[in-house]
Amino acid sequence: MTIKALQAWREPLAGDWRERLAEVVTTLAADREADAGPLRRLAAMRLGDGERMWLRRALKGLRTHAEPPRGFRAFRLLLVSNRTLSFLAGDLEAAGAARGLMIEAVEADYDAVAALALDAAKLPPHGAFDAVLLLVDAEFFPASGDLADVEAERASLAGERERLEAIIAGLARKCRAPVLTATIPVAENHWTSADLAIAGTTARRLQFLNAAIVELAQERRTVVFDLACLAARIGGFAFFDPARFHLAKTPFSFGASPVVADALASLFAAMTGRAGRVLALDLDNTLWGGVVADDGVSGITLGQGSPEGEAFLDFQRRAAELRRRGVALAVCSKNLEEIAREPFRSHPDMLLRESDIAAFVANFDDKATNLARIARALDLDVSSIVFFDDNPAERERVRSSLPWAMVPEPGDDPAEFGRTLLASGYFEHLQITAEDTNRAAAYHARAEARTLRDSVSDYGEYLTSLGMEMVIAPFDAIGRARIAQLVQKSNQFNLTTKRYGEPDIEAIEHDAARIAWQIRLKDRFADHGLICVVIADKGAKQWRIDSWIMSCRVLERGVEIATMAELVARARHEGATALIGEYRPTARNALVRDFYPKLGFAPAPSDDPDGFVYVLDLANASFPQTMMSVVTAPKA
Amino acid sequence: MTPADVLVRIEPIFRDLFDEYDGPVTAALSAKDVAQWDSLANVQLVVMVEKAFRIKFSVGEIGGLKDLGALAELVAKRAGG
Repeated sequence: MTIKALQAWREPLAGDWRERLAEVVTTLAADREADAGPLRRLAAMRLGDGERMWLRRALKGLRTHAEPPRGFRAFRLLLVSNRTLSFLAGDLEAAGAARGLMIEAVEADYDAVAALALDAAKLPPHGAFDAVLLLVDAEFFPASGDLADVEAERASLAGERERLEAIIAGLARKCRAPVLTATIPVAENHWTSADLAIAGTTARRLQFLNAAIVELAQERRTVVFDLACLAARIGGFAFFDPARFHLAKTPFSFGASPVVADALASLFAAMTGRAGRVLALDLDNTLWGGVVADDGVSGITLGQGSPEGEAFLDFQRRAAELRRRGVALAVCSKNLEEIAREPFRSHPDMLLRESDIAAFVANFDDKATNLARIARALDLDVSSIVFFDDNPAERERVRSSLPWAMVPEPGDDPAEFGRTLLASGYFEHLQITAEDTNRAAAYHARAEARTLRDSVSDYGEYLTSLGMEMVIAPFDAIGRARIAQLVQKSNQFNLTTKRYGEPDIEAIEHDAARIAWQIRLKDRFADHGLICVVIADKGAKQWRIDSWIMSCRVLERGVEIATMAELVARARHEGATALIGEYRPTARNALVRDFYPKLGFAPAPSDDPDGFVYVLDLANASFPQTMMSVVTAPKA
Repeated sequence: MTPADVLVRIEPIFRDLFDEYDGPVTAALSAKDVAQWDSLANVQLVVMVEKAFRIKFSVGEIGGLKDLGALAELVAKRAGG
């Protein structure tokens, strides 16, 4: 039953699902430029076992192309476990497709966890991995010693923690990819209420190890996959099935497997920048009960006094929590704007206020058009929007015209709204940085700046009016996590798409033969934080730009011109005569195809079959004036 | 329900799972006759049949199944009882 509740966000299965899948697959196979959004939509429906199988076959057919279908991203995962995860590998393919990912999960040899991590065993021959999942169960950490022997427990747990750390570090080093570590469900090993108070029990041991996993995540040595939490949501007995375990050594029941796969896929979506960034909310019967235009502000159901009103208030609380985590809130309502704004201004129980809403769109245009407006106002793609609306007709309209927008089912009961939205995993995120929490405010600022842009006719004047300040600094320990995040997530403004993890970033930071810059931008509306990363190899005469990544939030502000001017000045100062740049095309970075020519670079013979190489002669390079002040930190 | 009735209801599940097999679905069919029928697919088949008939086999029951007929007999026995 709860497994069902965790899938409630999915669109109900269409009656003609199989026909539609066949049609979409035919289109995608024939025309590789065709948008694969409709495939994502079909994958995000409530699939049964049969549909999941069909979907996996369809994906297998599409995988024969070198590039994933348009809009999808390939994601290779290594599964490392002391149990069988073949089922999960299959379910991951289907779960990934619902989030625009072509997941290929490769299972390492059964029960070769330690050997693989500690170098004795070979990696499966599959090239690079985007992530490694380490999923072991209680038996991997066998209990030892007598119960109630505190000293023996302490020594044994310290040893187990070290072993776990060594395995995670070994996997990260060997696979050069982030390691996700699954926490271990405790219920099956929890014998009595006293268990956690008795030294030497398995329940206590697992709780200790789960805490250790979380600590390692805080130190950024692993990413938590909170399987223990998911198991608790599903319910321990439904999660673990002893009969199946003895049949196939599966660490969780077959029924739970698609839900586990879904939770993992949403984590991968977050890792690849595909999670939701905006929650676009309907108003009537979504944020409050009733219709404000008919019932008036005093007539809507919200807040203390009625169970239904409390349920709506609780949903607002969830939305506010998302905002605290850096998600922008938007309103998308069919209403007169003045009427729609009234509850935000004058209803005493309203938790969300106008100042919480980054983009407020209330009119009688259709919602797909309005969501596109919201995306534009926030400088985001519609694929970053999660649209939440109680009206099935509106949801259908949005799904069919914007297949990349995420549209969860809300369910019929407002008391379930928050839970269903959470279960969708659309707002899954990784470790939060200070910049994430400022992000919602930055979206507001962006929407405001856009309004200003509309009112200032001359673009240069507009840029001047922003009062931009750009700071160039070398990589440092504080910036490392955010730098790695930008390097791993940016797809569009990314010249070579080299994905460096945090350990690589640290190595580059200490490499004297390299320039490694992190660049931040502020203006009068917002601190945009880290918006650009540049890595260059210093040759004697020729410097080569290894990576150039910029946030699309700050396009057309002259950041790249100002940065390149600084890089050229620096190279000249150190005696170089030329700067080499490279563009490696991917499915997503066409935006920067002409990056180097626009900055005055000339095409040069390519030494890389996958890229285009350009050269800039430093003797006569010059750049236009930019409308910002540039501060270069002393050691940059 | 007789084992033969069960087999008729198992057939579409079987064909969904083993889409590359186009021979007849009979009681004598076993893993050696179907290329896609590996140990993982075997578990999948059992789970899908359990779901379709709303039954759950015990760990001992699944171990001894030698062919599709044995599975159909087991279902008939359990669903009938």
